[in-house]
Amino acid sequence: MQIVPFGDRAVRLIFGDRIDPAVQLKIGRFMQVLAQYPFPGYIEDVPAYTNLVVYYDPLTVIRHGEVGVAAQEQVRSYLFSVQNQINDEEEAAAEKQTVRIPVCYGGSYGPDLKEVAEFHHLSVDEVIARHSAPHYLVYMLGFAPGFPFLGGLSEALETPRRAEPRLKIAAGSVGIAGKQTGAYPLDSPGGWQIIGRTPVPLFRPKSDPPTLLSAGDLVQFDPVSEEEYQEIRERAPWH
Amino acid sequence: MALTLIRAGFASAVQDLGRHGYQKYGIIVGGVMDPPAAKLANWLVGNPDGSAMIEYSFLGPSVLFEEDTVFALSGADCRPELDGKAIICGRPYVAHEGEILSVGGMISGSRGYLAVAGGIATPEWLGSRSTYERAGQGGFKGRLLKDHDRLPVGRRSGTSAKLMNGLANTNSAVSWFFSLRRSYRGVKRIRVIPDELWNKFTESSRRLFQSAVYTITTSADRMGYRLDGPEVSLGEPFELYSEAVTNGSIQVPRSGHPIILMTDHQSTGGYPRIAQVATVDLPILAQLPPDSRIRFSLISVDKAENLLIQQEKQLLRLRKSVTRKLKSLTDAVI
Repeated sequence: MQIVPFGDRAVRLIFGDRIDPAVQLKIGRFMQVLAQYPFPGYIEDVPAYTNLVVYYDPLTVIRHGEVGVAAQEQVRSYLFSVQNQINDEEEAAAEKQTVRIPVCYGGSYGPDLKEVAEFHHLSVDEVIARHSAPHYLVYMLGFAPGFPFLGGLSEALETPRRAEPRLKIAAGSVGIAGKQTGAYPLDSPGGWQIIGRTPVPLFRPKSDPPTLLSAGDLVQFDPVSEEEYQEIRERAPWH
Repeated sequence: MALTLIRAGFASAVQDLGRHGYQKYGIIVGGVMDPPAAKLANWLVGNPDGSAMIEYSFLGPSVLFEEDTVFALSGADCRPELDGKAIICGRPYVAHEGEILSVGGMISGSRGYLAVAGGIATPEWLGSRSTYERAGQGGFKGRLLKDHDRLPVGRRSGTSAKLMNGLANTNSAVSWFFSLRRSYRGVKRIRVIPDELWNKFTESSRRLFQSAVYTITTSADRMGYRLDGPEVSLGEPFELYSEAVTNGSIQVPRSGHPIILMTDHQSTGGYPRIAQVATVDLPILAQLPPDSRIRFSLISVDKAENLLIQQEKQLLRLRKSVTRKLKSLTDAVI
């Protein structure tokens, strides 16, 4: 692990240089240990594909820390000592639950499904089967509340963004953009190929944490019919 | 207790010191753009640092008070009036029931703060009252304020209650005020700390970035400022995955025109960053309107920390003087 400055109130911990589940596992493990042993002045941390940013309040660090040593230097030393607590051999990966997300593919919910199928010379059913088979890994959330950056899309489904972005994509829309797949938590403009929609909200403002997913979770999409979609929506406790 | 906005002003919203701990879920920090100015407004009415207030940009609101209320204005300078009488920023006043505060346009600076004793008491969301417009959460109904909105005000602290009596018995001509003594004129020097990607930019880009004058364009809001000036570019293009960005991150999109991320920035971004603005200079930046000119100068993390410590000491001194002043007002009343 390497630690680089990120302004005067944060450091970036670099765990790797490519998108890799093993790197995500290291970041997740580090976050667990840091959550258990936070330092005075620690504010929060934000994971990404290859690194973790740790935010702190330098004034609090200095107040509680060693006299005459810069806050960032103290935070760096502390974070290295956190890393030393982690034994890769012993700490087996915690068994991750897969979050199942129902998706109604195609129709008015997935206006680009046919185009995606034609682009890959696949049938619509084959696209659905390939999209709903993997256990996707949530590497990080960002862009919007609860928006997951998922890894694990089948290469056979990689599709460029739409030439003309849509002004409004409905919340719950499930799409593909290049190697990425994911779901929109809020109504947003966007250029993703929309292949379906989930009735399950990814952003849950009344809960804490306020999102369905967290970094490190596994996700599988469950194809459902339009009737099932409506049924889930109606009986859902979040309305 | 409540107050009504007769006119909301521009981009006015309920804000506090931000929502921390949820960026890992894609939820922004947000909060006031100019924390020292916002804290000063709270101190002046006897509130804790983190009480919620109204932040406005360029044009302040007109406010009808439904009950006698202690309030103070700080941040951008303006020519406010209370029931038609000129008042000044940087000191507390009592507004009596039915009186109207008209903040008016900003004369110097961009963001102003209206604090009321007891704070704006809209519901908290995830530990903060800051408005998160995109998610429709926090603040007043999760949105910017509109004409005729009626905002709840919290219960006054003991200090604020005493202050109400103290001010009521003081001659209104008593003239003193507290300010952060800033100037927003001329080319402002903005100190920055190089990003880890600094060396990926061409040598001439790095040189230009430090020497050229950049202008804040009209594409400048609480999310970020687009700059006009010499283009900077990467030596060799490389793929950057989305990763955490912060208040003051200076991103360089393909156009080569830098963008400074401000308070309402998204938690993550995928453009290369050339530098981060030193925390000590973020409040100044928050106050610079479009067409302001800035020049970047590079400093070390240690230097940035020292500047922050100095700023904090100055703020503590200011806070002490405010507290002393308020005490002299309240002690005078027996």
